[in-house]
Parts: sequence; C-alpha cells; structure tokens
Amino acid sequence: MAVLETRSDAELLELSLAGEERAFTLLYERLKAPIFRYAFYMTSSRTAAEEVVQEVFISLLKCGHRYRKAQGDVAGFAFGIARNFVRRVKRRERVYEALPDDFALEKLVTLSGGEKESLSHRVVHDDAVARIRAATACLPDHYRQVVVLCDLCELSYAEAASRLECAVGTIRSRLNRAHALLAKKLKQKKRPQPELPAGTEECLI
Amino acid sequence: MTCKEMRARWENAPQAAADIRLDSSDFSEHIASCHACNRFVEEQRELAEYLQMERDSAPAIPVSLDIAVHNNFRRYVSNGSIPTGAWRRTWLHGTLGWAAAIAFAVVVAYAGIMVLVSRQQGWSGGEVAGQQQKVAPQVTSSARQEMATPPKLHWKKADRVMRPVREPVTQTKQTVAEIDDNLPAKFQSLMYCDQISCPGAMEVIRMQFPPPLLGLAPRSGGANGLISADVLVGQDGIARGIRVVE
Repeated sequence: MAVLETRSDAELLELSLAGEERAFTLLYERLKAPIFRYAFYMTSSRTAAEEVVQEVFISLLKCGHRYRKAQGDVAGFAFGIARNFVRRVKRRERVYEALPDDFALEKLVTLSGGEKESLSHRVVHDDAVARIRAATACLPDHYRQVVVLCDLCELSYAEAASRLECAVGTIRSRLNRAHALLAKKLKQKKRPQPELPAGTEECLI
Repeated sequence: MTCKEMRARWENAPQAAADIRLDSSDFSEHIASCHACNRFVEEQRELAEYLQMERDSAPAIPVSLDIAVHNNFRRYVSNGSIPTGAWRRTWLHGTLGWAAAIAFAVVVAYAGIMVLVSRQQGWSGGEVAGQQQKVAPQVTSSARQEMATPPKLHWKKADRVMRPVREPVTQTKQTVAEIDDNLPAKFQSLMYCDQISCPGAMEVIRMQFPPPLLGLAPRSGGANGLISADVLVGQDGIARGIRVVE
C-alpha cells in the first residue's frame, strides 16, 4: 500500500482495471469526496449523490480503458462521468417533488435529542443553509456549476476550468455574476413579509 | 483607490483571499469612505458566510456507499467483467465493428448500383419510346393527306409521355358504306342512317313536290308543274331518303 500511495491516479486506474483491489481502494479514497460533494450540491439529495458515486466508479471500471493521459487527469475524467450522471438524475427527478430524505430525518432526530441550548442556533443555521441552497438551486446551470466547484468543492479556478473545459477567465466572470445573483436572491429572501391582519376578521370581510 | 479598481481587485482574487483583501490599508480606507463599496463588501462577506455554512452542512459519505462500491469492484473481478487486457477486447470489438460496417457499406453500394442500372435500363426504354413517338406524327401526316376529311387527333396520357392517338379512318368509311347499303338504289339520303339509327323496315311513299323545293328550275316539272318523287320513311315517320321519279 505504501508503494501504491506514491502512484498517480492514472497508474492506480490502470492497476484497478487489471483487478488490483488495493489500487482501486486508493483511487476511490482519492476521488470519492469531491465527486460526492459535487453530486450532492448539484442534486441537493444525499441519495442521488450516493447513486452518482456508485455509477461513476462502475463506469470507471467499465470504460476506464478509454482514459487518455494526454486529455487530462483521472479526476477530470471521473468528474466528466459524474457530470453526465448528475444531468441524467436531474432530468429523471425533474417531474417529482422532493421529499425530505433520510439525511433530513437524521438531522431532525439529532435536533430533538441533542443539546437544548444549541437548538435555536441550529434552527437559524438550518434556515440559512436552506436559503443558500434554494438560491443556488435557482441559478442557471452554468453559474451553479461554477459556484459548486469553486465555492463549495473549493477547487481552484484552474481546476474548475479544466473540469468544465473552459477558460479561467470564463470561470472568474461566471463566478462573479453568480455571486451577484446569489446576493440579490438572498436579499430578496431576507425582506420582511408584510404583516398580516390579526385574527380572522379580515378574511371574513 | 477608485470603486472600479476595488471591484476589479475583488473579482480577480479568489474567494479565500477575501480577508487578506480587507486587511490591506487602501481597501479599508476606500470602504470606509464609499457607501456603495461598503455595502458591496458587506454583501459579499455575508454570502461567504452562507457558503461556508453550506460547506459545513455537507453530509458525510456513508460507510454503506464504500461497501457497495467495493462489492461492485469484486463482482466485476469475479465475473470477469473487468476489462483486464481490455485493449485486446477493444481491438476485437473494434475489428468486428469495422468489419460489420464495411460489409453493410458493400451491401448498400451493391444495392445502389443495381437500382441505378435498372433505372438506366428504364431510361433507355423511354428513349426508344420517344423515338417511336417521333415517327408516329410522320405516319399520321401521310395518312392525313390520303383522307378527305382529317380525323380528330387527341392526346392520351400514358407513362410520362403524350402519345397522339388516331381514331381509325376505316370506321368513317364503314359508316358511309353502311348508309349506302341501308338505302335502296338511286335513293339519296336525307339524314344519317345506319343500322342503329334506322332500325326495321322503311316505307316508300310517292309524293309530288314543286320543283324549287327540290332545288330545280320552276318549269322543269311535269304537266301539272310538279315533280314526283319516292320518299323513304322510317317507322318513326322521319324521311330517310328520296328518289326523283319524273
């Protein structure tokens, strides 16, 4: 394992295709987190993100021989597969209304059974997260991709540019526009609601 | 520092460098003096906080996913589905694919050639027909010279070409002959008469006409100045023919 750790992703992929399980495990450990996070932020669903990760590694085993070193690193290759799967999942799930998945239920359980003093803080935190998640989900896809890669997956501009196969300047400009849109959306959401008249009298009139 | 410079420097630096930017003296001086830039920076900082919360809220990767992925790997290895020596299989698949594609192309090309050949034969047949059509008007013009009354020509549509079709000339001659045969000798026909229009026996009635009625001179009649003539009358009472007697 110590020798394998010094190997590049491309070599690990080659060994994995040859049936070397340790190489595959190491490659999986290196790639799973960014792919999972990307899929999670793009789909807003943990179940869908898990599905995407599984499909990406199955595809790597099936189609890994198509990888060419000259065209980029293995992470970019895997990211391309993940992007296609995310697109497919989003297309499939477009007609359905999202239900709170098991992750939300887990959080609910921890909230109810957790420390009493942190409850209000958690509620505020979750509300903020829900707001930024909703604002991100409303962004056009090319802006959302950049926000997810640069802000949420914390890739550099150059890495994001190589993943999305565009120029670094494009990433930068898209990110700035996305930030402006996000700030505007968050400001709109924070705007106080007009006070409703107390009681049911107004409704009856 | 101007607002434009401040925005440009902000946008060109990555998000992680926001704090460093805010620490610089010219930055903080400008923000303190410019209300719009101050608001912009506040918005960006707030957004950064939101994004940080979103990053922190990402769920951990479950162990079940690791197990599932490794099980997939083992299943592929045990089933031989993993492309070990993948290049050979790929080469084989590629070769078979190319062979199938070439065979298909050959079949399509052969079919195309056959269709072209059959069409060309069809075209050459058409040319022959065209030549025949060119000859046909010559024949009809010679026939027209022979006939007293030119027969009607009408065009008949057939297989892309218009062919002149001539009604048989003999039919007209036959009709005239029939008329002559139907009337007794020396009778001049007064109307068209054939076996269909003049069925059954006819009656001969001798009548006397003033000569001008028959187109003769007034004094060419007999003693009473009238001319006797036999008239052929059909069963319908219509005169068919006439014969001058005196």
